[in-house]
Amino acid sequence: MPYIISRFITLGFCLILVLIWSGPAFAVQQHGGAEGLVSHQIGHILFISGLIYLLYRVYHNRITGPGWFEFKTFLWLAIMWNILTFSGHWMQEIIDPGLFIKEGSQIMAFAVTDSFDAFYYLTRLDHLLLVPSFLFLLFALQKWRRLQ
Amino acid sequence: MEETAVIISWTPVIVVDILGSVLTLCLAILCANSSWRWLKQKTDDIFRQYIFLLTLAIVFFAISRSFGHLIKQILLLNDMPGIWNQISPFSGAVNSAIFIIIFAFGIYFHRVQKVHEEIEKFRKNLESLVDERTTQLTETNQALQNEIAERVHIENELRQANITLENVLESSNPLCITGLDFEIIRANKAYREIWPLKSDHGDRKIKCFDSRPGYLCHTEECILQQILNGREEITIESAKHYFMGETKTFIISARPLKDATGNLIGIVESFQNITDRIEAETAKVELIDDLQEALDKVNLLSGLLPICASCKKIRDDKGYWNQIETYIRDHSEAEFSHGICPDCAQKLYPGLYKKIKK
Repeated sequence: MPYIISRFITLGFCLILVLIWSGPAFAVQQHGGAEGLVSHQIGHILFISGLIYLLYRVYHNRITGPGWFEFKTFLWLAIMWNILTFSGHWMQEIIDPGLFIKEGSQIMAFAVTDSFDAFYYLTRLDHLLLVPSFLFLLFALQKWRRLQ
Repeated sequence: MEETAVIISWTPVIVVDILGSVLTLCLAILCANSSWRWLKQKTDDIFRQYIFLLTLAIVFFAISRSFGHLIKQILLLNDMPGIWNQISPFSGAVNSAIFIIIFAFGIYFHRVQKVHEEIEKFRKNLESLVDERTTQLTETNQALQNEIAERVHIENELRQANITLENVLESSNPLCITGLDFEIIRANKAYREIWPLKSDHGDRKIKCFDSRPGYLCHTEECILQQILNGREEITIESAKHYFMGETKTFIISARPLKDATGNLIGIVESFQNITDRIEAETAKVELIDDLQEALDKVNLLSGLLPICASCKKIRDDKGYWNQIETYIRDHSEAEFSHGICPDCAQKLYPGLYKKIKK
């Protein structure tokens, strides 16, 4: 237990450092400035890389058994969500702001003129991938717990 | 040609964003709880620790992102985009940092899996080794118990045999076991009451010729010597000196004592005291002689005796004529008392005889 706590504290400390030290990165929803978007996109790339490597190792080592199908499904969904979100962030920068129909500062509608716009609209529904991925992660953990 | 635009409501985006964030938040908390409970079942399992930390990182990401999205929607719906502009960089920074952490966990998976598999393999080997050794120990223990039971049984039998031997030895005549070096190995109580077992030289065993000296000792007729020369059984009559100095006569029976492999290791001698019998025999012989002598005297009286026809004198072996009373008195235990028979009384004292008759 002390080992877990020390790891937890280290992780928390790193997060606090990042929070305190980072300047206005404008990372996620509003990436003001190219630097903020680039760093965030690099984060997504690293996230995808880590998940892909994890998936590769699970397949390569032929790890099977209860819970592993669900875990692999979580990884696939998480990778797809990352790709979708990565695309959405990038498309956000080049999409025509005139396609957003606003009332004041509120976006009320979106004008889809081509497939690019349609895909962009889909990237804004990323939770449709994120929620199932967490669901499968939960299923995997529950199956592993029941194994004992 | 003008492009035709399809107007799609933005409400689904907002709804999916809010609901999705809430669901992601709930699911993330459930995942954290599930991984924690799984870890608690076996805290020393390295793989469980890894999955817990990975899940924790993913959950942190989900929580920070969900909070970020929810706060964003709330602020935008309340027409406060400026505040969101202030908050969003921090939210984004947290997510970026967690992306890096998840990446690190991802590439560490292989090493953790390897270590976990090796530990499991060692544990299984150890368990099977322990099972195997336990089985061996159980079998050895069982064999040992069987051996102990057998030894106890043998010891009991040996003890019983010793007790029987002791009873037999103590109930018999004096008996001793003498080694090939003439030392007395063992003797029963009857022997010890007659001859000493302690040597004059401290704790050394006493020699047989010191314990019960006899006229056969140090000769070729020595019983042990004869057994060593190959005789199987010897029974002799011999005189032995008692420890108090007197001499007694014994019938000594000796047999070789051999070990389990048939090698001669000594002799077993028993001593039957026949001194009383010898004395009785001697007394008997003397009595017989006396009786014979008496009988001789009795026979003289029963033979032909030369007797004078007139005076009734008897002639003895030397030729002398003796009065009959004298001869009978000398040749028997008889005595005479004199009287007168009626015929002689009438002849010698007629007057007195008539008076007595009247």
